[in-house]
Amino acid sequence: MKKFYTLFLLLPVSLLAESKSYNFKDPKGVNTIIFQLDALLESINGSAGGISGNVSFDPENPGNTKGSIILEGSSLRVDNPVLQEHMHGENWLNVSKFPQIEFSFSHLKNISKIERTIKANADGKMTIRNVTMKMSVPVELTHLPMMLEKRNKVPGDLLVVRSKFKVKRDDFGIQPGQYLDKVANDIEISINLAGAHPLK
Amino acid sequence: MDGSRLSFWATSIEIREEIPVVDGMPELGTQVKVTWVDKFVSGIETPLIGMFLSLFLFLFHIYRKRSLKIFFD
Repeated sequence: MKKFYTLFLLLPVSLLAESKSYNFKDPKGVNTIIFQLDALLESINGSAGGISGNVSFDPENPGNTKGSIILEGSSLRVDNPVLQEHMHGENWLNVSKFPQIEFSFSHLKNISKIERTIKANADGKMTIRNVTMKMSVPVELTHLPMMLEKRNKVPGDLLVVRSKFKVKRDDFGIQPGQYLDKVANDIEISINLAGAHPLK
Repeated sequence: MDGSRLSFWATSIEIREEIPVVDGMPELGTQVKVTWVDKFVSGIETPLIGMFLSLFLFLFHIYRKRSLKIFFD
């Protein structure tokens, strides 16, 4: 009977600890993905700001974190207009046919917590040019409860997602084995995004 | 590291600045804000090619002038 009462008391607590959905479409326009391709003869640096997506996060149960981050291919930008045109073009990313790059993940593993930051690996799928590959991406999550008001003037929580990882362009059929001296096969990606969960 | 690369010119430049995720509270973490500014930036290759081309035309002009001088003498 005592166990029953304990369970009965814990039930509301477990109901309170639910996942919240964080939207990564940043009204401030700060959320950016930075990329670099460092080949033997050329180094290509750029960034992209067309980010959206939702991540479901529960600070009490970070392993169940899931969601997707979507990048509009047309928002990828480099300093040279001809290079940018080629990058968006049919032979490379073909953004008119494949407008979105998506990373979706279903859970986190290898979780460790240092102060307010959670380090883990996000197991998911990366889709570029309609080619989907399984990937495990190292991520750092920082949950900032009730801090959205100071950023976006709306009460709510913030979730900051940071990650650095590499993708290989030949894995996604982007000119495999071609122009390797000028366009590196490894694309280094650095993300630093803030997601918002406004209180309704 | 940007490395060495062939670049004749760029028409825009990227400005990266680190800003706090929460305004006025950098201790909670920072984000990189990227701003693109439309600006013409010439690479070293463009003036170098211009210089070599001018030098070639100058030497060719002198060569032609001397050749004509020898021809008329």
